[in-house]
Amino acid sequence: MRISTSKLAIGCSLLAVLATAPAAFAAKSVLEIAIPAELSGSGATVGVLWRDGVMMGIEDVNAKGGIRGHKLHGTAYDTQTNPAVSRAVIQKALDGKPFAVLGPVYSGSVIVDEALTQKAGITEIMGGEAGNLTAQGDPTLFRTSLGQAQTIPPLISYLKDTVHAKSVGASYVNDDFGKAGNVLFMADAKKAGLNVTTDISSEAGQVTFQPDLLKMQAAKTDAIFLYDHEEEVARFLKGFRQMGMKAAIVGGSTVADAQAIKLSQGAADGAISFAGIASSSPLPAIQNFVKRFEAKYKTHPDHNAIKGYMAVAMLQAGVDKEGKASAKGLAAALHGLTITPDKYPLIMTPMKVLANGDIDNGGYLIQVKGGKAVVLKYVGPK
Amino acid sequence: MSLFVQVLISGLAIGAIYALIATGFSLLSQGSQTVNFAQGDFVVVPAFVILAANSYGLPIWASFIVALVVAALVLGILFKRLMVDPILPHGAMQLSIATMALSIVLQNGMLNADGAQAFPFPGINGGMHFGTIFIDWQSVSILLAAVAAVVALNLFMGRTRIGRAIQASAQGPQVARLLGINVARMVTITFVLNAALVTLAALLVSPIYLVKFDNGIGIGLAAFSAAIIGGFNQVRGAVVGGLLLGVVQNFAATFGPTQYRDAVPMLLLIIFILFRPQGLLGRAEERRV
Repeated sequence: MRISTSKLAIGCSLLAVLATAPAAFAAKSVLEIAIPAELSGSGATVGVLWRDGVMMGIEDVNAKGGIRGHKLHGTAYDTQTNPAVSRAVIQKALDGKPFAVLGPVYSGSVIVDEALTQKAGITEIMGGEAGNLTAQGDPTLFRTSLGQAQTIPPLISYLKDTVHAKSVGASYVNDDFGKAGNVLFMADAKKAGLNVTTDISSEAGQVTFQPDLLKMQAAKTDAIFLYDHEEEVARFLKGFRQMGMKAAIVGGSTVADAQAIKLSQGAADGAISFAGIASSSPLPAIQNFVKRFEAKYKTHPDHNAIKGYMAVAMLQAGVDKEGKASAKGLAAALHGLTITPDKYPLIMTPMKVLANGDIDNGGYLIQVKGGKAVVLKYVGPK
Repeated sequence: MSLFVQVLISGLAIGAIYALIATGFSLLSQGSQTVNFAQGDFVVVPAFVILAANSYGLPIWASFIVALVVAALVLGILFKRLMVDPILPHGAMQLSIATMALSIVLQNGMLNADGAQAFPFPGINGGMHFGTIFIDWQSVSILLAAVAAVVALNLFMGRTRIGRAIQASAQGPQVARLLGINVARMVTITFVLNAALVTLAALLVSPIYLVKFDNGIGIGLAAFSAAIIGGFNQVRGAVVGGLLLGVVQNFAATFGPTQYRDAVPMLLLIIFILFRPQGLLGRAEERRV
């Protein structure tokens, strides 16, 4: 059989293309991002926004060519706001060998699943705020917002110096997030000389707070420290207003959260919170994000959506510091990293990743006014 | 004292909602041997319909009427025709299990259609001070509306020809047929009445609970417990059971350890099942094997 020179050349070229193709595709392999989030159950209000924030971040990064040539692909997993389910879905996600895990948001879920990601050596960038999360010594676990140890002291100062409160009633959700916040609050309140008249726990998904409010009303407290999730915050505040109570309300980031404000239908007005990030921030980058998010998802983003979006920027910065997209080296690269918006626009505000996985990006003292969260004061990173 | 009165009033208000839903439980049970485990979800469906109608610019009262019509058709007539009629001949147990499946289908349907997030629902703000006691209008309106509904239902059942025919059909369908009563129609009316009760409950409970696809789980459990405590085979029992449960729940949460607030009503339920299984006002039923 005789083969012409031209046919031979075409054949060789084809073979060469086929032979080099895997290498070419490998260089641009897709990085799988697992997104466990509270997509149903009592935490769906926050989990859905977190997922959408992450997805929007992934789209923005891919639109600019990905991370060092690697496109990202996100897969969302529903934890059902149930720590046991969260652990199961993260195990399932890890079986798929993801590049990183972004989520979940609820501290109770993070606390039970961080051991899995640590064992697998996969970086977990999550939305939990409970103080004890980063105290586990897990080198692969990172926050996207301030922890309770950073957000509660400014609230105590506000209660003491601005409200001039002598007595405070505490209401907290009986889960890892609420209990850890309550422990810190009680210790700091004692140090500040505040008299805690009532210390009431509630359940996640609790639908009526009248008994709790009646106890607080009977105790005649000057202020209420509210540490609960968004839906429950809204129910609490609606009951608070319906009962004509006048105490000052301060609380975690959820108290002035967009979802809590919307659900409380005006009852959140006057409430004060301290948060590491806020959709009410006057920063142009954050306002631009809010507009784009609203246009895309037809809902107002809260701090959880922003945290999810920023988590993608943390990935970007970590891979760049590593110099290559290696899942195993990502966590080490993130520790001690300072991420600035000029290089990583998705981060929106300068962030320092601390050695224990906490972050410092400053914080906002926020008050709800006229159904909107308004920044009273910005406290820069230390 | 003022704390006691306020706890009592807010407990009665939430108990009145349980009573409405439990009354529906009892009606369906008596009218067609249907123990509807989707009853809690039946409250959530009209809540979403009211919100949807309201979002199209209808005032809340008009949205409520739209929801009443939709609930009567879907949760009343269609539920009976498509589910109860075909399954009941196979046994009441089979039907109860089918309603559990219906509950899951409804929850997932609402999850897909409306998402997992909660929605705000218009309510009544403000209240009035009576000395040191503050009574909020929301609780007052819930109590008044629920009491009015239960009184109206009792009058309808006791004083009207249709009401008495429904009772006769429930107590002895064969004898009722011999007396010329259209038993099938009376059973359908019972289902429509239940749909009206859950729609009213949706209007009353949603400002407090917010509207969310899985709200029905807790509401249904509370109402089911109320029906058992009061006596499943007595409408009056369901009313008493609902009010008692609401009050006990509120007192337990206010004066008891808060960590056990959800356990106390369940404890009450267990006590009744052990020591008075027919409930407060129910009749003990004998069954020959």
